[in-house]
Amino acid sequence: MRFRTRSRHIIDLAFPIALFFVFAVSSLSILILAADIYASTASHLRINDENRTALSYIAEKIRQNDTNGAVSITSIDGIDCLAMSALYNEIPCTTYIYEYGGMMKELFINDGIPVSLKSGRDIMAISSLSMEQLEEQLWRFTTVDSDGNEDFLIAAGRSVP
Amino acid sequence: MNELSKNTFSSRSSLLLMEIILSILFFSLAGTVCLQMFVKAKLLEQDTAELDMAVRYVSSAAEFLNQPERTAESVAILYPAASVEGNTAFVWFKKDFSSCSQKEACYRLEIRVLQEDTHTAVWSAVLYTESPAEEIYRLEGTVYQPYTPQDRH
Repeated sequence: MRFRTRSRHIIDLAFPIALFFVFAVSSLSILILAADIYASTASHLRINDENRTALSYIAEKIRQNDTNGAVSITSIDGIDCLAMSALYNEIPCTTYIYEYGGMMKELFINDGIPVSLKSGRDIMAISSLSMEQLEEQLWRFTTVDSDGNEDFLIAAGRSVP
Repeated sequence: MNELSKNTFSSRSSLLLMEIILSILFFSLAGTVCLQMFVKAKLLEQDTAELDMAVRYVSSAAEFLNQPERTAESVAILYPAASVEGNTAFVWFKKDFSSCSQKEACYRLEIRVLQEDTHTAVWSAVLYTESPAEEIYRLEGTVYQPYTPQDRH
């Protein structure tokens, strides 16, 4: 009966509590590590989603419209626009791609009609889109996403005016 | 009776101890597996980010080099800080892919343009890590400058 009636030692209480804390701290560390890695991966995915999608769209549009030197950069109301001219049913038209009010927009309009940038169709949300003509038929596009991450694209025209 | 109680308690104690040891062992194993997975995920993510940037820079160079009449010297249009040695241009980047000097570089973009004949040039654009020098991404191509009526004379 000596074992049943013996007084409980402090270690009887301290050991399970210490063990519990060790488990809790270890679990929390692993959880924080996992959350950190997940956040980092998600952040990279978001960068790809916003910047790369916008730049890929621009690249595809340039390749699609690269005939007779139809691609150029023009400024409308102080905003840089990528302008791509073409003939549709013998009517000269221009497609403009630009950033306006936090959105990348596209406007397809007959030549000669005044261009209203806010009338463009929304493509996707983007913080900033800047364009630079490095040389004839060579452009650099830089996008900034909502988190401030920057990305760029060098695009070259193949057609001859 | 006393002996019986002592034995019972002793066996319960060792059972509890065994349970705790097994729990710790299981937790340690699970923790080790998780940590290994997380480290692998982190490394994979870093490699992917590196490859992603490499693809971006090399593709941009390729887009530039695919135009006729490009030489190693003309790389300065894209990267004013480029250093040219013969038919090869070198551009150095920091960890965050901003241009820098060779001394503080983590990555090196090597652009080579070889003129095969008057109308054909072979180019390659390769991004390396600086130390150890390992290739991350490479693109190669040939560009033909169209013949014009003047070339006949």
